[in-house]
Amino acid sequence: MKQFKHINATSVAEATSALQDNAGVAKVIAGGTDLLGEMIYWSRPNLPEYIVDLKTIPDMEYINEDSSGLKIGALTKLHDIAASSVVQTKYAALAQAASKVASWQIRHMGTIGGNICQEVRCWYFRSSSNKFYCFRKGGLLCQALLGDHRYQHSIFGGAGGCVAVNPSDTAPALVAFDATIKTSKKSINAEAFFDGFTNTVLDDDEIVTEIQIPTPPAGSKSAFAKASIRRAIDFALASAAVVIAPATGSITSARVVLGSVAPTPRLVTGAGDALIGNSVSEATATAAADAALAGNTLLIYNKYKVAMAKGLVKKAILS
Amino acid sequence: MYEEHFHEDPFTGEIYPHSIHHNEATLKYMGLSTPDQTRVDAGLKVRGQARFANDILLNDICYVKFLRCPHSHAEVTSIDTSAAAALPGVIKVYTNDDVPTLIARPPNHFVLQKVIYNDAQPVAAVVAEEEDICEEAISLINVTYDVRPFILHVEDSMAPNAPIIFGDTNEVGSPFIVDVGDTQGALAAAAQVVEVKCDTVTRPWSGDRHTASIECESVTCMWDGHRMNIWTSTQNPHGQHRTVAAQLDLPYNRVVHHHTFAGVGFGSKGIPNKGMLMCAYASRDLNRPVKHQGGSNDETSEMVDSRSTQSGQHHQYKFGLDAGGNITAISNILNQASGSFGGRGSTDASRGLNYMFKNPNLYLEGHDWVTNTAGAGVPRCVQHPMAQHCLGMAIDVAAEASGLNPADFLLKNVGTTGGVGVNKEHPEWEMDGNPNPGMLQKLIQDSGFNSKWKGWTTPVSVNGSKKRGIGISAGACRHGYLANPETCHIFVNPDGTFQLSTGSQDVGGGNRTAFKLMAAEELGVTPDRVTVSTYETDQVQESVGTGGSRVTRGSGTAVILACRDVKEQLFITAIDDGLIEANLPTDLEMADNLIYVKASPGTTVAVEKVANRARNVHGMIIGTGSHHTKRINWMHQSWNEAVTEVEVDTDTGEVTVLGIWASQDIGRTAWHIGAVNQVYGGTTMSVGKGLFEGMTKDENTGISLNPNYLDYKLMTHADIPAEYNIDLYENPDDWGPMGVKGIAEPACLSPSPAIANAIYNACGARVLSTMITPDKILAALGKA
Repeated sequence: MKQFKHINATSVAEATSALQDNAGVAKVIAGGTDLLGEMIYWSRPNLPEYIVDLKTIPDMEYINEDSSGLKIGALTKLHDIAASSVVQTKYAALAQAASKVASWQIRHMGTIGGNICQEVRCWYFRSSSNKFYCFRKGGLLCQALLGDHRYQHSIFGGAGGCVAVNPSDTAPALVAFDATIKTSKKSINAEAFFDGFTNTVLDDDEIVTEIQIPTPPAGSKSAFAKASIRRAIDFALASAAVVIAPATGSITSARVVLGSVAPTPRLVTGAGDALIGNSVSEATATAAADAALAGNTLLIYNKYKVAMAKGLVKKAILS
Repeated sequence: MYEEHFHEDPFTGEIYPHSIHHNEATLKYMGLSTPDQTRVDAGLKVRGQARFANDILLNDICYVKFLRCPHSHAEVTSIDTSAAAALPGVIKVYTNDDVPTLIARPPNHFVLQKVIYNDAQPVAAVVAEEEDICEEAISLINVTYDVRPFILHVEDSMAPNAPIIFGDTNEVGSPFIVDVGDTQGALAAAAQVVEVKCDTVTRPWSGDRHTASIECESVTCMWDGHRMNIWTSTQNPHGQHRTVAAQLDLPYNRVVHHHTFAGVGFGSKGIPNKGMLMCAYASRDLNRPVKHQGGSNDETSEMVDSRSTQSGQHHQYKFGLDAGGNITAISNILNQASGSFGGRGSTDASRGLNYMFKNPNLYLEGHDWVTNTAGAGVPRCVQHPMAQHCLGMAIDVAAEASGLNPADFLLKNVGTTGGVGVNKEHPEWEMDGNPNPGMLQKLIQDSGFNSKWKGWTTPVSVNGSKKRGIGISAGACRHGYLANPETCHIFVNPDGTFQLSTGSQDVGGGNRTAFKLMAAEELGVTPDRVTVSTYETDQVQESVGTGGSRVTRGSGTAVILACRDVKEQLFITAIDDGLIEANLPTDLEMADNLIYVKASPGTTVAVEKVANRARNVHGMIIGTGSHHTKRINWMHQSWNEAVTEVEVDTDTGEVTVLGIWASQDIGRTAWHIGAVNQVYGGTTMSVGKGLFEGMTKDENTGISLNPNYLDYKLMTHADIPAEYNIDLYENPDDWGPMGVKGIAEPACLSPSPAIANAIYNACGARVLSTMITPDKILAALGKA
């Protein structure tokens, strides 16, 4: 593993100040399940010299609900979100998404903040010893575009020349709920939080502190569906999150979000529009699924993702 | 004594010793499923006290790590190690110039390569005080390469204008041919001919199976000024002992291989690895203990590079069928990726067809082709599981063409006889008994296959986009042969207990527990009286390496012989010292911890009384069993058959395995719990091969894309069905001690094709390859 210096932050201010003091050579970890993989594999040049550990910051691990909605501390473990009765009841898509991440063990390590800030899983980008110096690392090529892009690559174009997808399971659910990401500097809508090339719009000295989810419309339902090669420890080939209100009868609001098919979670308003004014049925679900995948730009080896993602949208709507 | 208990090989005239209990229907200790039959090392392992190679830490230890070439075919043109050597904590940096003759696998797999044939191969090694320093130093080594054209696919290697990777041609050796009967004539006369192509590697390049042991490679070597001391994960301690001795030009008695437990091997730990040779060389060179542990950077590279993979196969089958669905002829042309070792794979891959079906006409043609990939070989069997995967799917295609239910098609065609003439390639060679049709009929019944099967184009059931299907497959392989040498020592203690040892490592399969039960049975003592020690090459003579599914059969034969030896010595002592009334040792036998007179079973003497007398008067009793099988080829077929039930989500292409019924032709069960677990393990690996596992290289650069256990996907517990049934089908083998057969590798044969066939039954997606991932299923369904 690449050697580094470890800093235990005891407050958000201490963490951001450590990032400022070591600008350009420091990164944060919480569960550590993402960044440490890069450190072990030496997968890119300029790996951090300093790691600022956020786990030592108190009072950032909570799930609270009030009249405005749900507030989740950025250090809250994915397992706790998946197991929370309030999340399961009123924010089901998020509980389902959290429950699908990796494995029982990793869900006890990984946090919601880390899950939405994670790096892409492109196997060229992640290749050990930096064998592929790609756009995302500062190079002049996307080897995946010309190579084997069957699993973790986009069907909706790239960002900055990179065609890797955002691999987060919880991200599409948060966008579907129209969540707000609170950081050490600002509050930002979840859809705007993600960036296809830099993962997020966070500054180098900025950290996520809280996820805020507004109370869903009365009578609404939500669901998340994910497809992967195996049932555990596997990133999504595609996923879909939907929030529909009301669950029965004529739909007045609907948000349909695709995951793992584009550089960022993809909110497809056309898919929501296809549902509004109709009630949930096989036909409306199919229409929404078709709308969700409109405008795709397939690569050679990932054509299957269109059918797969359509299937997932239908499943989420009909669940 | 016991000369009357044997089986004679009519081909070689060789005598195979039999247990005195060989023909008994049931045994006292072997084959029981009672919970008290625990693994001999269970306590150590459960408590974390078993010492594995990676647990070895010695005073003054240092570490070695490799810099691996990023190219699949290249030559080192310059290498600058000065910055690495100058890093604080670095002790020495080695390149090929320092160790030009240190070689793991002739002719071209040097420990540090100058010419690279596969992208995992090391070109430099750094020895440092800490592993992290090794890695930091590796990042400072500057290498320039002459990058050469590489070949990943068999068809590219076969092309007339293909670059020659090494040697004069890319084809390795001459074609493997079996030609029995009149295959072309029978095909011409057949009511129908079914042609099927199956591949195990597809474009983009993926499919080779990697050896994924739960314990990564680890080795520590310590030169003590006179001898090389080695602790390493191995299936074959004496073999590795000899390799190190040869490479360091030391006599055998100046190398000692100390015991450590091993977390399986699947064949990969049976042959020399570069980490061990580099550690041994550096330890003597630096006069310090040196450790190498795989796993931190390129997790799979150590095994892929040093060892081998089940590599790409392209099969072209032709089946001649008569109007009744009988197979009248089989033709198979196999082109096999030999990888970068220059070895043969096709010979092993093809041979199963020699004895599996009743067809009188058989034509097999196998070609091996050099590719810039790992060499053809393991894991868990050489090429049989890949070939069986293809054959099992192809048979399903033929069954559909016949119009018969696939279970009926198999029952109609599967070989049912044993004895001389079963082997079509060498009909003069005797094979052991065939468990079919009984085994196949039982599997069909236990799984409820016929009640679930609704027809070729009809799923078992449909629930929206989710469709259930059922599949069946049957196969056999020849493992459990060539078990040489076969050696066992038994010490008799004065209290009537027995300490048994063989040179065979127990990599977790449980052969030490099996030997304990076999020895208890043969000695006529309770199992608590028998202890089976671990090996130490200073203390135990060489016995068969734990590979090829042969250790229970091979070292087990020596266990029988050693038991005979100690019993004879005990009987002579008892008679000579008047401890029992008898004239000849042959008048006596042992049971229930007593020596008794066969003609008067009530006349007994306790074993401990005789053993104690030997110690006090005559000297300690040491028994030996030593045997060498003369036949140089197989005499053995072990059947494995499976039914699987799957659910395919036709919207997403995802497969959920709902049920597995796996039947294993076991001969006779030695240790029930271990045998069941072997079959569970083999079945799970096989399903993983069918659904997930496949090494992948970038077509443009030849660089491996998934050399880690996240992107190279093994089965997880979440992928295993609750409905999981293992049947050990007993059919005592003529050749194996107590009737045992090798089962570890055969257990991998049939589940994966049964999965492929079930997927087809569920949804009509006929994916004739391994790694039947959702993208392939959706493509086969016309959705991509």
